[in-house]
Amino acid sequence: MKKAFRVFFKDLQEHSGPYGLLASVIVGMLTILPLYQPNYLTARIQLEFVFNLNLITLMAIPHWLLAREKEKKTILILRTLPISARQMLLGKFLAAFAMSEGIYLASLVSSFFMLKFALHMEMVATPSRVVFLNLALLAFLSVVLASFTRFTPRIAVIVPFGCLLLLVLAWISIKKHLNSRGISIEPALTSLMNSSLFPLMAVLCFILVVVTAFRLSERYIEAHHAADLVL
Amino acid sequence: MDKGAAQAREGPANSMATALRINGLTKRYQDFALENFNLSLQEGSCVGLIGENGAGKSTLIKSILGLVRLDGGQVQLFGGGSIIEGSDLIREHVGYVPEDQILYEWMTIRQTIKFYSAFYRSWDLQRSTQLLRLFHLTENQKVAHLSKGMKVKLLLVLALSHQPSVLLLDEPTGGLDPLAKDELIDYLEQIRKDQPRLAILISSHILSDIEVLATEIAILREGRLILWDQKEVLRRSHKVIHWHSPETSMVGRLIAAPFVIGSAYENGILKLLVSVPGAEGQRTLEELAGKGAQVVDATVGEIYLGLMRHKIRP
Repeated sequence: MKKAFRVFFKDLQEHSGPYGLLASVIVGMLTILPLYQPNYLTARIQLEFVFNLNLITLMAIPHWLLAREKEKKTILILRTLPISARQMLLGKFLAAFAMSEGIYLASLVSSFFMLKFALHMEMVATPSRVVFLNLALLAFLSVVLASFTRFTPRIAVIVPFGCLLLLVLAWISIKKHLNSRGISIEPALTSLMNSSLFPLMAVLCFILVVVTAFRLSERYIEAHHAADLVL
Repeated sequence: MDKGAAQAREGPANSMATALRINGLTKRYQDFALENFNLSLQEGSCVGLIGENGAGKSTLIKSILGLVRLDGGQVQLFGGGSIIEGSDLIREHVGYVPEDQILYEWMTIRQTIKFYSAFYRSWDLQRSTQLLRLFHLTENQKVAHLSKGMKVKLLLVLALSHQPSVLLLDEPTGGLDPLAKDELIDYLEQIRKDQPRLAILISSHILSDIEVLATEIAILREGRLILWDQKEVLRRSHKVIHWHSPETSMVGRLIAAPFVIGSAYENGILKLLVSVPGAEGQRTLEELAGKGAQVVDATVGEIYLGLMRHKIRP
């Protein structure tokens, strides 16, 4: 674990400079701007945008952490140190998560700032939403990480977002198909989401995604020639 | 069977303890294979690994470091009376200097040392400070501002500070200017004196470096070890003959002789590389010496080039 943390701290140290600056500039601007919006809807949209800012960073963070390391060949440093593929991935994963959380927390600050000073603003960051988004963030980051392990940077960026898009499209078409046959899945979904087992199932699903993506990356790294590794 | 091939399988006679043993190592790629490869490094030895591009030198080093999954065989390291297997454990006891001087450019030397030291249980901070002083490197220098030669020195500090039993050098002098190269070779010689039990495997295209540093020579061709012996034994058993204005009647016979492994005829001078002359060869050598031919010990470069040009079957 100590070795994984060393990789984690190295990544934070290496990338916190530009990221910290980017985050503070964006959050600073977006925190102040909605206060000048007299229109509730415009302010609300901006608030939503600030809160979901981490989605934008998802694409950039693994790129910085993995593609650049591969590009500069420094991945060979990690591969020749006495550190296992698992420890290395764990360090990278933690760093990606911490950086996303940094932006995420900054957007929360913005949210609370808005709630304090803007009138008639409703709470965007409900606890369940924060937990759900964090779990989704973890799962998505692990998929992005696995994707960067296996593919070239460009494809690696496309793959997880492509998968997400396919998932959404599949969901819409299934729903449409069922609706055309007069079957509504809304009641079933609502009852499922209201069930006490739902949070547990959601957590298990996310863990499954994280572990699967993690194991895939690990096995890929162990099975392939270091120099040929996309990572 | 070719004597060189037999020698390659057995290796040189050595009384020192084994530091690293590669046993039947096999790694197959689509167009290349390292087949049933055996090599061992004795404590205090320095094995010079020579071969053409694609001969398998890098694959061998990567196999030792556990960076490739082997198709067969094993790599064993002997440390503190026990056998160490498994890539993570082996990397803990092996120092490695990569070919491309890869380092985190944004770090300072101090940060680099701090980063590396976290991964090794046996990191000796005193040793790293001592080596930095020896190489005239200061901790506050930024890696990005170091010259190629200084980067190699820093890599050596990193490779030696965890007190490895084996040091792997992959083309350490590649891309260095002659002055930096000479300086590095001097340092490597000094390190060998300071750490007499350290086993070194040096892979290089620069034969003059191998000539100076290596105590044993291992020649690879197409994934096979075609020759492996002590440098001095090799040099004594290979001779170079320079014969000015040779007798035409003898030239054809000499070139066809089984002990002649390389020949060239330029500007009236016949140059022959001969290997381990037996009784017949010895007689021929004496005869040639009597006719005014110069017979000298071959250099590693001459032996290597002679073997490679003639593509002797292992």
